Amino acid sequence: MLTLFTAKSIITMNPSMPAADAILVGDGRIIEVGHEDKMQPWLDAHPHTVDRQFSEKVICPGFIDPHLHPTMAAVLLPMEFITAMRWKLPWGIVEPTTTAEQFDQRMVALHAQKEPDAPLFIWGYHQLWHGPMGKQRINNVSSERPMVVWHRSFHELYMNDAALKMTEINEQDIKPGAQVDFSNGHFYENGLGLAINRLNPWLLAPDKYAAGLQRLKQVVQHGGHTSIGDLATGLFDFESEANALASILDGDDVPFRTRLVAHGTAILKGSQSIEDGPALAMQLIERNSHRLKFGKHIKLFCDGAFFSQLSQLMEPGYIDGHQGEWLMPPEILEQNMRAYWHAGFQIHVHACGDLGIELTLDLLEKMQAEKPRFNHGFTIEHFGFSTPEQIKRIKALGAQVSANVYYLHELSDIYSREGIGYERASQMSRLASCFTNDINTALHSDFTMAPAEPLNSAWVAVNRINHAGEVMCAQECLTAQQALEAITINAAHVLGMAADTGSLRAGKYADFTILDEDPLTCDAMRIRDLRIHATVFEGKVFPLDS
Amino acid sequence: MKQRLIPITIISGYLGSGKTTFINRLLAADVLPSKVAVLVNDFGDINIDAKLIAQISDDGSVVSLTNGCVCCTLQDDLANTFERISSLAIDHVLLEASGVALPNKLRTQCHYPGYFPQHCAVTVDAENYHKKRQDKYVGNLVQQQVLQADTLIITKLDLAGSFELPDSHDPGRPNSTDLSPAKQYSVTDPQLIYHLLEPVKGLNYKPGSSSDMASFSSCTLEQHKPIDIQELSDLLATVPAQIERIKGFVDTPTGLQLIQKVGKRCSIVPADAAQNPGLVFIYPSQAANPAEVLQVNWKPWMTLRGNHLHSAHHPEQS
Repeated sequence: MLTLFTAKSIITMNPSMPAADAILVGDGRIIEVGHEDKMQPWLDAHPHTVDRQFSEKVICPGFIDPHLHPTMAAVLLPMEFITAMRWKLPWGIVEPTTTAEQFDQRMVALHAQKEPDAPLFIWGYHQLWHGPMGKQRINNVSSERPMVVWHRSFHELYMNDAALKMTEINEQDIKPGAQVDFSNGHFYENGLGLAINRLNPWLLAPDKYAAGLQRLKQVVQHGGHTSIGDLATGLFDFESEANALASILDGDDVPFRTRLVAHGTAILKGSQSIEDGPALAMQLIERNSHRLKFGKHIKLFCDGAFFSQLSQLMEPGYIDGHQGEWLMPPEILEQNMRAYWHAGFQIHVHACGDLGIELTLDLLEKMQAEKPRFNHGFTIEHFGFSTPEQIKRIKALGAQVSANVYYLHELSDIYSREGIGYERASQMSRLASCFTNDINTALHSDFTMAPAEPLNSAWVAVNRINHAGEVMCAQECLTAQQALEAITINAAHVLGMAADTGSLRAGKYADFTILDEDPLTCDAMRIRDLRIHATVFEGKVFPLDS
Repeated sequence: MKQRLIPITIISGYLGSGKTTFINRLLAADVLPSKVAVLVNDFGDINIDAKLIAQISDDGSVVSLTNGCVCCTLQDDLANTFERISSLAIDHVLLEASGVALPNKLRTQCHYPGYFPQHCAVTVDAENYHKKRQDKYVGNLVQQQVLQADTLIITKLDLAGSFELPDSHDPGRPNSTDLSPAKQYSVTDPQLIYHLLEPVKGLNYKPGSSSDMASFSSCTLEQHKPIDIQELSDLLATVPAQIERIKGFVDTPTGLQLIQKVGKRCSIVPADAAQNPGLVFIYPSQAANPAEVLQVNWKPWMTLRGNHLHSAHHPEQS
């Protein structure tokens, strides 16, 4: 049985037929895209129904986030959010909380709502907006209920007396230098490891983790996604993660598929060497199910995180003179890259600062000299700060870009003042240059680093407005068309799924995101607010209630 | 229950500088005292003589040796490993660091309940160091590792013939009396392992580096009047708790003394050369500034000269 969906308009992302108004679906795949009257031969030959539920809607290719972390999300999502930025979650919009007073009011309200005795985890605190945090401040909300306030960056947290008691962390355990200020309930950087170890029974208990993954499933659907990439399967623990994902992100009720890209060093066990990696990664493919698929992809890591200013920068570096970090010695990155490059893998490298990107490109150039490859899909992941010269190199070496453009929105204002200065802060996410140079370029959230809302990422890429309301480097703004490509067909290319999804044409999966309005013609400032009416995954409609 | 803290000796140093070779040498020569836990990045490069192996844990991550030591892989993060080995009968940890880790950051990571960082040695490849320190990508890192070391283990001297640190490794410190250069040992020196298992002599904590992950501040007191040794010792024992290290020279009726205090361990020994008397007190920048208390307590003999924030804890905006 075929189904003919009609729409006010259909955005195909197929340059040969950019727009249409009808799409015929059979057995989860697209039979034909175009106009109803041209589809008569198919309709005459096969039994069909006509579904006009989207006749006043706009059909887009299903959105794709090519880089997020379901496991991290599963830990975070059961927590309550109090954030300076807006977060749109399936169970409600978290409106910005931008003052200390509002933060306290929200804590009091959450405490009042929460069932007695249960610990209360709050995420999203940031001193710039919410003032100094401390044990006494949380005790003022409740000294009986264990409460943990987690910093937006994940790098620090605060506990009240009840939480310290619950975790059995004692003052005499804490030594000077431990990066714990016990009297203030403050655990930061390395001191956080202790806090997390003691909180794990509440954070990673199997039922909590499963509940977190269920929430992630809702988040992914509500963002309008029909495909996502888990860009470091094994981030915490390979087997337990893979099993949990298989039990929750598979099944007929799941409206999206997941490309699993293994964490390059997490797949090695015991005395296995880097050179064993490609064969081990190939074995993972045997675990594939319909919705969860490993591929000939691997994730490697170059420099430190952009959010914590540990990215490696070329001169003149950071204003305060501190240095970034390498996540592995460059020689080890090279050894990994060589193993996977020669084995024909698509390599995804986490590279955030311009020195990190430079190293990544130097190594790619070396690999190309050793064994030239075309259409290799080598992807720079995150792409925080780059130089114009690197754009040319990325093109010349045949690489592609998957960018977390949200950096620009949340960080460019503060980094211009406390980080790297205005010139470089304003030129984060140098994306229009990528399009001009015909580099395949996608947008991702790295959720939980940015909201898992492709329309929000597109909104940032098109408007380049930071949280302070300033337009940062208008020259690098994408057009709405480019931004939509970046969350559909280009993202499909990054995940090696472009033959199956990412655009609407005969033969691909019937993966749609149904919008009330056309993102290509609406006011660019409204892109992130467009209502997602439903998603369609392999021909099956999944309505959204909100 | 009050437990003795287990000291940690960190073996840091860039990739290829000889950390693993050194650890293999210790294991092969069977020179480690019993009850030392050796934590290594992975077993792939570690050679343990089969005769030495008493038992291997089910998951293969812990190897017990017949001499009472254990070898353990750092499968995930350090905090997890500390929890994992807490049930073992050990009284010292030898930790092989990742090639890209900085000693100062490792020191803070080693302040896990039950443990403390006692000594940080950095392996230096005599043959390649001078080339490596100019590397576009890791030059700064390998220099910082050397600058933050308590002890330098010079490797591959047989290939290089000799080794000297470049002059540029004398960083522009706030003043010249407060820090001495790391002591150098050849990797083949039979005394080296005993030195490494001891507390640091000749304190070499270098808070001046701007790329320290942990940020430390210091107070400097300048001496204007000699102090009795007993009084000095009492005063040193009662400094505010947040002070982690004290270093300097103090004038006493029996002559100039070299003072080194790390945590609760304090040494007062006659100084062998003339120095300006004064003390530097180092504390984590996150902790309360002890300057006022020090100023009051030491007033009869010393005056506050400086109170420096050595490296800003970089903004954690996110």
